[in-house]
Amino acid sequence: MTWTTPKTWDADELVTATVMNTQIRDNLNALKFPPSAAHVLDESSEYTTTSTTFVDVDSTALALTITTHGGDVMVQFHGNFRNSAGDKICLDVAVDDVRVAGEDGIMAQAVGTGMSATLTFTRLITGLSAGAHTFKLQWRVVTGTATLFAGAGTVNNQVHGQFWVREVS
Amino acid sequence: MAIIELVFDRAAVNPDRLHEDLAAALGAAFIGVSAGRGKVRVHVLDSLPAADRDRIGLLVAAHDPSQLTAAQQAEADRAALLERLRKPWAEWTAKDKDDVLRLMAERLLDDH
Repeated sequence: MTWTTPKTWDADELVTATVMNTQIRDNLNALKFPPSAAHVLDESSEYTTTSTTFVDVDSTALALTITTHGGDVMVQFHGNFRNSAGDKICLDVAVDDVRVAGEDGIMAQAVGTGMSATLTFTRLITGLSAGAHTFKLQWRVVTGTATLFAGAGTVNNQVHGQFWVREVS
Repeated sequence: MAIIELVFDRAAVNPDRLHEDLAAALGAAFIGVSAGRGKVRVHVLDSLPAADRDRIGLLVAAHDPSQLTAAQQAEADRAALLERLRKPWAEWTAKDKDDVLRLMAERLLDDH
């Protein structure tokens, strides 16, 4: 949907179908259908990592590309995790291969060994230029092996997290 | 130094064991291993020599996910022991009592 900066109308200005369609129809459609992408986890195997440096969780399925109008983008993720060492799992989002939070990421949470815990975040990303941008979910561990349950059949952890992005302004 | 990843097709993985084996073989250049959707990704420093990169493929191919790490085996043994002790007190042997005391002592030491 194409967004056009709303015009300032002049007195006695002729309102044509073309102008109305651009200013009203197209702009309302752009608001109704903003650039958006989402992925629900439903995979044949759970995700795991032992990396102590941030890496993509899945550079295909959890890499979402949208073409924006230069506005802010909201990113949201929720999923169930476990860590074999009971230590911290760190999460971040990379926009065009640059992590938005830096350092230890958006969040760092210890997750027990014999249990699973939901980790979730919502992030507003500002300052993006108009055009295509790719958002990748990334993670690392402090120690241990992190597991992200992806609906692959682990008993009592057959859950389906979600990763989504949407331009919101 | 940059980090690169080598990708292999591999469905079943014991990530803890594979991590241990790769760390032992590659040393400080090894960062970690990730898995999912039928792929194994090995994360290493780009300074890793080509010969070592070739070894990674062989190690991943030879990986047996049924082989446990020492920690995994210890946890499996602990779970089996606890299961064995689920019986009336009157049936406990001297060895059973020693075993539960050992488990409790290990837990106390771990917590402190």
